[in-house]
Amino acid sequence: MKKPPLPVYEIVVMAALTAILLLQKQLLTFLPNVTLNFFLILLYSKVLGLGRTAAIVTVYLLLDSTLWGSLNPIFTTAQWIGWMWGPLITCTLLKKTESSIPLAFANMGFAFLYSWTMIVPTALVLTNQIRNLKAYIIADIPWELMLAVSAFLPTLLLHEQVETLFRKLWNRRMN
Amino acid sequence: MNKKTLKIVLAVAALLVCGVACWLMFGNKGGQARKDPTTTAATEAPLTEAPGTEAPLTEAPGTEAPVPAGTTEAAPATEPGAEDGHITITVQDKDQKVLVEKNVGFKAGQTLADLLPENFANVTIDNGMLMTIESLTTPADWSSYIALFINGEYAMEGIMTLPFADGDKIDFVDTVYIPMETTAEAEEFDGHITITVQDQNNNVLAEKTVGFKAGQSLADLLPENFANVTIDNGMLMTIENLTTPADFHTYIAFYINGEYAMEGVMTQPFADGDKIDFIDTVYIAP
Repeated sequence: MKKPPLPVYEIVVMAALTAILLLQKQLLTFLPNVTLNFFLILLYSKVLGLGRTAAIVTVYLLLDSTLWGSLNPIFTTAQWIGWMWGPLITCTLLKKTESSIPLAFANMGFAFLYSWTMIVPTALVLTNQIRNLKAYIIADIPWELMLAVSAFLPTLLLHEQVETLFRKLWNRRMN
Repeated sequence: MNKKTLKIVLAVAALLVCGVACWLMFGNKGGQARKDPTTTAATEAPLTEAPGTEAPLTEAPGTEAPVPAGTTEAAPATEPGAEDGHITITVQDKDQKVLVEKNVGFKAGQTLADLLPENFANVTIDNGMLMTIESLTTPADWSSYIALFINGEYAMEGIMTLPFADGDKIDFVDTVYIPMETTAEAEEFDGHITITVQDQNNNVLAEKTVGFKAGQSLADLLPENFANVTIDNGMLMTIENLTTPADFHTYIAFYINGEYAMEGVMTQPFADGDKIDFIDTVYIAP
């Protein structure tokens, strides 16, 4: 019998992982720019690969944008690009990197990349409001730092252990 | 250095960076909420710089200044009473007849808000404002309020933050509040600014030219001139029909002369002729 391209149990697990991503985001909304998204997306990228992670990120983003009322072709596309820096680089340049320290630094970089990516639609859409882009970018720096730290710390402290566990569970399900 | 130690060092460094970011975002109470309106903006607020013009506002006791004896600003609690000493505090009625007078000792760092309940009866402080003391009461309609004077001059700060020194004289005077409409003609403003409230599509919902006096902040002017103004922790949460929802998916950004304001409504400096826009803005959360 021919193996399906995406078995049902993989779809179910991916749906659960999307739910986890969405749930933690909602739970942490009271903390400004603190999110486990980068940690989880890096984890998914390392274990599931680029394709599955891209699918999870896409579904997550559509649900999240709908929930927050920010579903908009320009912003949502930019957010997708922002989130996809991580999986793309992790699954190519950092494919063989296992240590949590370089991964934590990489994740910090992904947070900055996300923030800088989001400056583009902000400048495009809100040109009539944000006439002083320089002031906006300067005001953004502490928020970027906050996002970077929230990407760096969980990866540094938890990535190796969680990846081992997650890989074990994923491989067990797959075998 | 082994890996575990390196991780700990990096984690501590990250927490320090987090602390700096938090300080930049939350440390400035007057900062403008930007990406997430639960917080304040990035820049350091020069709190010594008075919004409006630089001339100090000094009014003699007895004049009707529409500012209650208090402030909603958070108290630093380090400035008031820099050294130990004694101050004289009086409570006066509307005719400036002294009802109670006491010589009160204080220790460095104590504020008037600390001293009043210890030394006077019926002291109620609400949100940093003195609402009752002895027989003086601020009625619900704010037709009168308890004005604060230091050495005969109208105090520029409230009981939470007003600095005082040994030998100072503090007066709490029951004062009739005359609304802006009836005093507008008599009042001499130091300048005028134009304030607009706009929806997400930049439709102007309200536009007013507002007179201000030296030392007044936007936080002082907005409630006097616009409906439904709520300022929480230095952040403008509602104005007219703009509301910051509980999930903060939108917030009220503000611009001065078309440029994104780097400070909040408590501290943003402005000058005669400036144009201030409050715009409902969607927050794109990461």
